[in-house]
Amino acid sequence: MSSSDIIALCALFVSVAGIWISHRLAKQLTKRNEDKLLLDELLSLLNKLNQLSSNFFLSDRRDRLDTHHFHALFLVDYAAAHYLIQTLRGKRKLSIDIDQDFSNFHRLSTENTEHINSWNTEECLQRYSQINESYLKCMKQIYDTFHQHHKP
Amino acid sequence: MIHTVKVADFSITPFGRYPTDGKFSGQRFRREVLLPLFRNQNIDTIQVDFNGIIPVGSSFIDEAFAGLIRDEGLNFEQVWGRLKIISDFPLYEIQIKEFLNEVRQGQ
Repeated sequence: MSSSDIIALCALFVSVAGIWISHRLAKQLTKRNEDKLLLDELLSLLNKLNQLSSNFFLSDRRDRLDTHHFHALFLVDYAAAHYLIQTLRGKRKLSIDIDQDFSNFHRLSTENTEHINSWNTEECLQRYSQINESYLKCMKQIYDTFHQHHKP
Repeated sequence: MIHTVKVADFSITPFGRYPTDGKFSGQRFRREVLLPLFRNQNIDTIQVDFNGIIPVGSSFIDEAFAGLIRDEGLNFEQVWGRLKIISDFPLYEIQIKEFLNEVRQGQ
């Protein structure tokens, strides 16, 4: 085998390796973008839930939604967020450890709220502050999971 | 013997703690559905299936399950030891255990 043959073989090998690496990187990038899209959707749902809670707990009683109505709106989006989390865990293999914080978010937003109009302003503020804390914990967990799976 | 209760058969929109909060309250679910099963010594496991409904609020969960200890005289083991939760949502198992533990610690 002549030296030009060896150079040609090396060039071929380098080209194949280059194509393989590019393909791998493209796949990783596509997966990252798809995961990011789903995570953004989840974050947007959580943000909507937090907004709903802030409107409910911080509104004047004359402007506040009826509790039954608030529960219906909150729980429908809560269920949607839950199914997104399941999808991220199952099909996208992102192990989001969020169950406890997500449950706290639900509990704080719905427990004993049937008679919220008899609560004073401080009680409403205190509850909303706890809700917001659990919301932030959920957000942090989601961002942390994303960065663990897709290193910056 | 295992007995399965589907919450959807009680209502697809359970809401609230007491009957004054809504027709399908946690107290009513406890008294009409859960309590007779927990009093029946022939039933070893009571499976409560939450699938098929929009998630319920926490007041309903607390009143239905923790109320078994708080108001009906059962203890933690008699409830948690015989209970099995069926649901896609982890929140039910997490919260029922929390509520039962809170009542136990408060006694």
